[in-house]
Amino acid sequence: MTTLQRGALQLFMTLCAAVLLLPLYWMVTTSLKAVGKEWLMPPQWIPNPVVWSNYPDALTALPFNYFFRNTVLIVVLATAGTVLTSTMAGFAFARLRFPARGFLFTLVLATMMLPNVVTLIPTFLLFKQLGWLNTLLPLIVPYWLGGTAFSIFLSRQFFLAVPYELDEAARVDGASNYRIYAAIMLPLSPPLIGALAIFSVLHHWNEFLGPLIYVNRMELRTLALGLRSFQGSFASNYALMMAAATVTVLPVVALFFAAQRFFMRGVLMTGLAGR
Amino acid sequence: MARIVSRRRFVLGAALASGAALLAACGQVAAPTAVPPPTATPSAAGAATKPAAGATTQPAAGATTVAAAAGAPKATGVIEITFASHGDQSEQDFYKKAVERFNQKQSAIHATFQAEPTNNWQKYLTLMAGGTMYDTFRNEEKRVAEFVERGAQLLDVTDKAQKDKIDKEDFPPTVWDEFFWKGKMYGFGHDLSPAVIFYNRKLFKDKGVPPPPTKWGDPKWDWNAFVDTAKKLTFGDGPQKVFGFVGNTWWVYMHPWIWSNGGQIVDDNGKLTIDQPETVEAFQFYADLNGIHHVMPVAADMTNGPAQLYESQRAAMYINNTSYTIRARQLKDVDWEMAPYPTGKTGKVFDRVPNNLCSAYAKTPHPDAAWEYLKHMASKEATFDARGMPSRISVARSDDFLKRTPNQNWQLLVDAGPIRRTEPRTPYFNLFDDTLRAAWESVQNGNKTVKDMIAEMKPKLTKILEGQG
Amino acid sequence: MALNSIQARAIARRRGRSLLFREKVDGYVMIAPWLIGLVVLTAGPMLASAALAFTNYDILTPPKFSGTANVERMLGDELFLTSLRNTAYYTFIGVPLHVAVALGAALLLNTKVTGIRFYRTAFYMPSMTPPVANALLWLWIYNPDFGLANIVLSTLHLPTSKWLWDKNTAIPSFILMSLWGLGSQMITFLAGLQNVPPQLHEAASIDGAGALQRFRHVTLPMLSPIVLFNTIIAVIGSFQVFTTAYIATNGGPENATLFYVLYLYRNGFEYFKMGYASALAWVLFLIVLVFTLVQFKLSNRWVYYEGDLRKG
Repeated sequence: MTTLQRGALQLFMTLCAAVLLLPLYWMVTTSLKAVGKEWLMPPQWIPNPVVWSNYPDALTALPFNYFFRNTVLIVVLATAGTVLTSTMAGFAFARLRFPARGFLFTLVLATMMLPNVVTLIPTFLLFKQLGWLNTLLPLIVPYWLGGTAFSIFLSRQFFLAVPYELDEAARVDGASNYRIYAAIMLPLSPPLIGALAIFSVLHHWNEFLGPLIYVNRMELRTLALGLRSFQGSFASNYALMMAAATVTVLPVVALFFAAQRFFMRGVLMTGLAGR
Repeated sequence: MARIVSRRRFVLGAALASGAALLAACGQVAAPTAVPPPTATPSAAGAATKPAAGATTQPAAGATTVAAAAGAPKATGVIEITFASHGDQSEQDFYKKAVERFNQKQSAIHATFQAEPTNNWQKYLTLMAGGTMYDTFRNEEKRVAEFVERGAQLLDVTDKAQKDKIDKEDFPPTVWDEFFWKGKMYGFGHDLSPAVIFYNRKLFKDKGVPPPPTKWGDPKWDWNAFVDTAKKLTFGDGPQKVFGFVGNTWWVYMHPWIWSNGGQIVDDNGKLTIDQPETVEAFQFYADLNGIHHVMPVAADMTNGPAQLYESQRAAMYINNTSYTIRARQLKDVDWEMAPYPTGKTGKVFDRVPNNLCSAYAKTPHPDAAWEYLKHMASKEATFDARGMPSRISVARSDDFLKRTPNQNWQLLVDAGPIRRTEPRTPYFNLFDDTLRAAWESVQNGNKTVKDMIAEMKPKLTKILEGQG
Repeated sequence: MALNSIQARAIARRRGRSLLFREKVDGYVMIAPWLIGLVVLTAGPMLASAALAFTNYDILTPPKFSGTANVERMLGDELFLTSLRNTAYYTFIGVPLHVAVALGAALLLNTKVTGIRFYRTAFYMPSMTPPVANALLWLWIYNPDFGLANIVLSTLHLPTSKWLWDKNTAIPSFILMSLWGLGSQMITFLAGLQNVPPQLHEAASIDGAGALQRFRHVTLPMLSPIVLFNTIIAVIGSFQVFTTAYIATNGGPENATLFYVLYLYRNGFEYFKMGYASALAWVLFLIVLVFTLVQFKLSNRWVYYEGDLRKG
């Protein structure tokens, strides 16, 4: 590559990055504008005055403390379930021989391709029968049942790549399959667990349709639902709305920076899984 | 080797799935009941693997989970109920304050306020079907029929009202009647919000246009006078253009025009009369405000809602119901006033006056507490600062209301009582509304003619009203 | 001694057999949660939904068998066709564009310019925005009077647009919005690119292949399985677009963004037509199934698997 080409490329990428980041910049700056100033033409590219109080105002207008608590509760419990049960299933599919294993794994793959809406209505009816509507259970318990098809698939691929010598040796020593899973496989799996956890956290943080259908009480709403309620009450108050939106984006971005390594490795695993 | 899905495997899976479909299709002929049996619970596994899931959820969610709410009152003996309402910030503030007032005035019942996102009537039906509806909620007279006919979802308070000797005379007769459906009382009103024309005094003054009359039914304030006034107030260009008039795009705001012209969308027997010449004429008149007279922006131009145009002084007249007065009173820049809809060719004028009432959920575990709350919402102390106008005549005629702001004609709202008509009440309101709303929006955007809309809506809406939609 | 060895062998055999048996039991125990989930949350509901599709069911009263009424209804239902058309438009324009742009971005990010880490983060960040926040943000950006989109366009002296408020530009606006979140696909492509053995490129260069040819004959074939995977997942996701549409436009203007799942949701949870909604769900399932199968079928022609190396 010539220096000129390199320079042009650099310029082009900077331009792309600017275009991609501009909406986020717009969100954050709008969130810091005095109410009403968001309607100024030409717009204020730098808010003046900078109104930090939009954040406490937005967060106290609706009980965001509940929304955070519920979301964190769901994220933590559902992620724990996903990691535990999908690594178990992934381990079994990768390392244990049992009847109909191939067939069952085909089912895992088939459900990956299944549009969720097919089961939406009967699942709603099921949870209604169980009396679970207006509780967080429908948003947590299903993830204790194998997580997602994708997480099982990812786990199986990971365990397939672990050398067989390790568990053969343990088996000779009389270790049970559970022990092999818990004492040998899991300690080798931080990259897998990290990837599963991150995908799961993102999924549950973002999830909207499930909470929309299963939960309505203010005290049980999640952040996504809370943000939607916010839209209802503050329809034209974009300064506050953007403040509330920013609050839901920040934790994810923070997670990204904190766990970038896991993130990339997880994506790499998915990327390779595609081959 | 580890490609995502081998083709063979996938085809096998697909074949299985379609096989299952076939099986199901055959199976259902024998047994059409398809509700998953309640015995098929995954709770065994769920509980075994993670007892903490349930355990942590309950206490964290506090006293408001269904389980807790359905159980006995809290140890302290206070009954917990919920009250839900949607609306913009100013409306929500009103309802929140009403809840606080209720909690202050007595201590046996504690109500919590539940803000719902706007336009969520449909979701209420879902909640009712799921058995998780709020104990009490803000309702509208148009919706009562749907809630009752779809499985008796509203608490029948006829006996309670009789026992408590509610002073029926304090409510306008059409309003009182709408608390009922098929002879039973399902709601209790607190607020009436007549639709009126909000106008900008300063714009009128600047253009030297005489303001509209202060009383309903003025023969000089007819449709032509309205168009002339709007024309004189339309000026400028581009993003600074001022419109003489912005309407509310929702079809229910057509009622006053249609009624005053001698037409109806649905007649008193529930039959569709949308193709009546008087009705069609009114729709056409309204469409022409943009199409021919250019005094009104198209619906698609009102990106931020018609209110935004009015509030930024870019519309001289604006139609809304008087819930909007809460917001209007907070506006600093707009010198606002209210005027009547123009008089129709019948020489009369009628108004749509939404009857905001509260209802209780039929399956509330605390029907008596819920009734106490409904009574509170309809009481004098809760309604004196109602969103539009208090439902109680005695409160609406009091100085508290008539002089709430010095420069506005609040008497106009009181006078809307006698010219009020009941809007269509159908058990299929949601579907009716969605269908007509989209079509009328097309007309207002100039993408459909009134004639086409009527031709298209007639068979559709007829079916919907018959329950065949 | 001899006896001992025979005994030992017998024990070993028995233990071996019991070990095998244990493995079978343990296997099933370990997949049990998933298996229960499959039966209770996937297979059962799918069957139930198939059965419901032939009923008239409003939740409040027991379902009534209605034969093929729902199918007939569908054929005459304009909104069903509208929602199908909208969704197809969104999918068949949006997904290829999405894949192409994500691939392009991945190629850019696979170069060795200074500050590549910053660029990667910048390109990836938008995809982290939760859908609800995303919808609100873009509702504001697309605001025809005060939104960023038109501000930028008018600064560049380009014609402005009504975006989500015009039925002709509403879906393109949604597609543009989805392109903004290209990050996750882009990263998978990037992972794939970094996995292409550099020797292949070197060999091709020695053979005199230019950059474009190398991309065409080396990179693309190596990446094709990932492209297939991403396309399939994106098509399935795109057919089910809901949250952003529900929040940003709720189907408007004039049903221009009434997407399939939004219409299904309305029927099931707003109009109480659970039977009809189930029929809609199954139709969607069949459509997705057919498209997935077609894509696998077509993939024979263009997807290259490492195992195929021997052949060619």
